[in-house]
Amino acid sequence: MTDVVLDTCCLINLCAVGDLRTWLPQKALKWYLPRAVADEAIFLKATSEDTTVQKSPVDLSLYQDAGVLIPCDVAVGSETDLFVRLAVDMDDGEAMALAIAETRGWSLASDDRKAMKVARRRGVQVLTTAEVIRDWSADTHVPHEGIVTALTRIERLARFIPAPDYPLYEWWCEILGGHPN
Amino acid sequence: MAQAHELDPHAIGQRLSAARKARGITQEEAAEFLGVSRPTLSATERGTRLPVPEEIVRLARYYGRSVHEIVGRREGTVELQPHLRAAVPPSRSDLGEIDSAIAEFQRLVDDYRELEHIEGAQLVVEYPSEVHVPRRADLRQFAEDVSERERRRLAVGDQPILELRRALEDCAGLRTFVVGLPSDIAGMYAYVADLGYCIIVNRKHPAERQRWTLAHEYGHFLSERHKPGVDYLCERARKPSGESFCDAFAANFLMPRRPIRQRFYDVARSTGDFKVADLCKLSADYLVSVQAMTLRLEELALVERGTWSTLREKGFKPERLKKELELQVPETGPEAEYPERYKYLAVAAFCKAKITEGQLAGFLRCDRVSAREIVRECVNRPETTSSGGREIIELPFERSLLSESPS
Repeated sequence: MTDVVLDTCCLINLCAVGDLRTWLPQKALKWYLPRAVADEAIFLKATSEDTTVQKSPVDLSLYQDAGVLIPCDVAVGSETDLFVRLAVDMDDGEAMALAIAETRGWSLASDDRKAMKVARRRGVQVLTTAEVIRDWSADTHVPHEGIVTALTRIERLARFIPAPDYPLYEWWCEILGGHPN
Repeated sequence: MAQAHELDPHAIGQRLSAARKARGITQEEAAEFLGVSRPTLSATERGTRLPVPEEIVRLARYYGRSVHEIVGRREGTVELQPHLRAAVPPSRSDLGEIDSAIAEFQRLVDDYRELEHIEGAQLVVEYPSEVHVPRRADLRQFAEDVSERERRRLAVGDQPILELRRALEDCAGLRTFVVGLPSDIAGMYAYVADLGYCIIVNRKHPAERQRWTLAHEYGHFLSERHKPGVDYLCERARKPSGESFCDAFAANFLMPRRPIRQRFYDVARSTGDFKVADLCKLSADYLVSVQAMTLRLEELALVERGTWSTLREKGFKPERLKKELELQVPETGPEAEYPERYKYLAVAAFCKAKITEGQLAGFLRCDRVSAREIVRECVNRPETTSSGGREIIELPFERSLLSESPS
């Protein structure tokens, strides 16, 4: 089973798809939640028909209690040292996730362009939301409409629109029938 | 990535010290928490000892700060706190709130400098030379002369300055921020090396009052820019000449004599009168309060001295009348916490993968999803198609128009 550490950017997108307990465990991966990511208050934004925007906080404790997300923290020594050095140029969520991924040989789940760039330069394997959704849909035979719903929810609730240089950008556009919304 | 020896002990020490004080924690308490002696903690805060990474992480958590806030790559900056605090009477009961506001002012100033550094985009502005308020000359006349010069220099003509904040930022090179301050404080101002003249305006005040404060602080910039200060709402019995100059400058700058007189005469000629409704309309057109416009008309001898006092005594409610007359003051007050240029610098840095999404949200003072929305608003522009329809064009912020072919 592959160990994957989540950064905040990716976590928000995955939460937008729906209750993580209902779909994330179907993927044969172990998901780790760094303390700096868990400490950050995250929100999704829903727009109702009358265009009122409602900001709803995401309760990560539900996912931790269910064992879907495993909490983790930087270990004393080289991991903390790397975290602090990365935090010079990145914020804590991305820096801690990357420090843990690198020192433990785990994959990093991120959709952040800078974090992905730094991770690849440092030889850390990166998994994006698009890759997670594509693999999940393939593994569990999610119908096309289900994938459309997932990507649409990411765009609407997390306001995440992939940039043209994002991995699987073409796949994303194809699923949604053209340009991202 | 920074190497351990690249961590700046002085900057880290200064930030740890500031974070500890902001949290109201003593050196003894922090030392005990960390399991070190007080002199060791003191040496860390003075920058003579670089804390080990575990200490940085533990102290950051203890002080409620992120590690990035403590170790982030930032240029050394001028400390505003001692200068601005010196301008606040020590007897005030809300010093904690004032300190928080000064700390936020400091963070915004530091962030602005950091964004300019990341983007390599320092604002090149040639400030006008300072004016020296003459002791014996007519202060009002002098302020009028200076405001006319500034209106010419900023090319705002005789018209109401609809985009005052933008004019002061883009044309005069000032940095303006909007922060919640105690209600009786209008604003603060300070000159910061490598950044320039910075102003904060009270978020709690209405847009019209914020504009007056901006113009008043601009007067300070012109007359005594190297002296930081705090401005209050309360009327002092006898104002120092510097404050009187700034008030007179603001009045002339926002409501220039000639066009105001002309507008007054036009109304009086066409209707044979100048009613309270006309006063409200004029104040709405110039984006100032009815009080400010009435006092200006009194000063220009267009209405009788004491008109405003009389109106107040009779229970005049300008806001109610404006509503009845359907006079909407345009939303032109400085509402965003930071300037437009600051926002674009942050978005550009993010689009070029120079900063992470978390850093972007920190710079923009919002959660990540809201930061994503701001990015979309900046890079997506509505355009009209050849058939008259509307389409959204996504602009690649990271693309150079000079170093590569646009094809």
